[in-house]
Amino acid sequence: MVPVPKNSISSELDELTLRRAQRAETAASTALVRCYERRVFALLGRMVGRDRALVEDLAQETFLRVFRALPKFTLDGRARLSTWILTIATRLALDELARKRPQSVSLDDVLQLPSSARSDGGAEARAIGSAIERAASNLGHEQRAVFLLRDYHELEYEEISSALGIDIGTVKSRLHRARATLKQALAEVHHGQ
Amino acid sequence: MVNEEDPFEPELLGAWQPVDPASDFATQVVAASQAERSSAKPRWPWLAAAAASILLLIGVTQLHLPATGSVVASGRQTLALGHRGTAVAEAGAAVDWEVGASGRARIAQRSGNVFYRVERGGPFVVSTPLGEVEVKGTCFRVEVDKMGLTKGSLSAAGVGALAASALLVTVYEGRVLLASERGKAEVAAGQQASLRAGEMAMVHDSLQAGDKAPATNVATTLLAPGETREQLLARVAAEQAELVRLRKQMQDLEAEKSSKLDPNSLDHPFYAPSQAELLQMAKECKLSWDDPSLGTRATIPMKQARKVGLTAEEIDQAQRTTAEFNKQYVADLKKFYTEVGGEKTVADTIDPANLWWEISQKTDQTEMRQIYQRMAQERAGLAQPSVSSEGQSPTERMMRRVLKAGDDYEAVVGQAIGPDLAHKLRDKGWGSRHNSSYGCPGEEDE
Repeated sequence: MVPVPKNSISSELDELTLRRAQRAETAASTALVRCYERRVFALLGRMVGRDRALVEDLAQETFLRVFRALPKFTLDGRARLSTWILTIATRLALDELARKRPQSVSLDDVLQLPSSARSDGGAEARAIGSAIERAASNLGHEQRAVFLLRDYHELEYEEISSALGIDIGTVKSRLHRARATLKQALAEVHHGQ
Repeated sequence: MVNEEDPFEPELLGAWQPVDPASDFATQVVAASQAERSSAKPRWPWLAAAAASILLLIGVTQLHLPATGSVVASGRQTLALGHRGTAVAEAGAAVDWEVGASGRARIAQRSGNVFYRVERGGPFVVSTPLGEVEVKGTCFRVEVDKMGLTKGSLSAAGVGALAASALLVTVYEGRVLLASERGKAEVAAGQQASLRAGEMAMVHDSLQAGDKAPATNVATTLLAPGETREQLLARVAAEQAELVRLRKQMQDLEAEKSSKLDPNSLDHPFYAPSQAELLQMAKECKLSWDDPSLGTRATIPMKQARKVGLTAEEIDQAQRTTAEFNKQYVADLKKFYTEVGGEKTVADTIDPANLWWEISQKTDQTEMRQIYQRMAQERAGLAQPSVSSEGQSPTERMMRRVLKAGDDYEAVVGQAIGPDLAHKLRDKGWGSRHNSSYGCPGEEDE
């Protein structure tokens, strides 16, 4: 069987499997999806929220677009398949957010943990995660995308610039503001404990 | 100090839990991609047929392709909303729809009057300019703009010209959730909800002809300009009669769809078509066959085994026989694959359940048509059955092997647990059932 790489953030599909996937071989295509699916789901879930059905649809559409364009994808020494796939996912998420009404459910409720629940490490982690999620949901869509692509998926500034169609200076300034906003939110969580 | 070189600590980032994919996501998305590739080439209708076979093959995964559409109805129009339901749009209704592979459906109804029949399976949301209707398996009608609210009530609401935009939701079965900027309201079967810009939704029981004392505000809300209560009741009665007609229409459509798609709707087993059907299939160069569950997860049909009443020992014997049969069957298919030019190393990477398809892909279309025609004619008694594989191409030998696999498998399982039980286990056909055609030789590709 085609080896399926681990789902670490830096792993890429090996070139032989990629070539086979480009020929639409079933096992190689499956290996490709398995190699990148966790990253795609993670990105989409953090971009559009926890509507699982929506995330699954966007993830499926991401990979369908990948397979449509895969025969033309070339490894030129710089391009990473992961970057390309995450770019497709990001654009789909941005399109979805642009036509979607703002969420009416407030995430404030998520943070209203009983005080007794904050005493263990798991509760603290949940509170931090919720704080980041809430603060990120208040970021502009592109700002959120910049933050996720850089800090969660380790894309280079140049790659983010290309993915979002904005210049590198804008990438840096949006990232700066996003991090400041999120760190402020985290500080409030710690302060409140 | 926060700056661009000051990223978050990884443990902080990790606290925001991601959404994880389902374990079968990769399998589903690859199958969807293969089906899409096949159906994206309308100049070759045989590919679409093959794609349909693949869908049958993987039918247990409930795979659905995404569906989108848009219509401004010029007259009454029936719309298929992907696999999630059917809508009947009245003249003037403007509807866009998008149904995802997982079943999530988003309908944008900009105006007009549309009746919906929705199957269960994920969120189903109808967005209108005034609010959203969220549904889970139901029959309901959404009317935008032309619902005939009284001028008096609109004026009282103080919404002026905006009030021309109004929404009426009537639920016939199930329930829906009507959401607007002012809140949410649940509407159950037999109820109606009306909504005007800037106001909360009003929910009330649907008026019946025999109702004596509907709530005053309800009657006021529903009355059209200049309409009397009697006229309103007549209108509701007419609508209910229309509902009966639409339900009948839906049932007819569903019955028609079901009879076309469900092989089990036939009175005889899928693997043994009637002579009339065989003749028709010969005319269309079409083949049908049932596939045991072989390949990576070779197994007897456990649900049927329980139904038939197989003992644990019989199940064990049947499973061992299945494993042996599967080993030889997969080896044969891999051999055919290499004979048509495939690499042996690649054959080992292909899911055995898809090998027959991969072999077909490597075969010229004209040859596939000739093979199908020959075999279909033999099955119908229009040509002498082949007694020897001499002179047959690897693909033809493969197709003959695949078509016989159901009978061969029943025979070997019969040796293990007895022919009667094996026959009952097969029921109307093994798990995967194929109807496939590449067209007949000489046909146009179009």
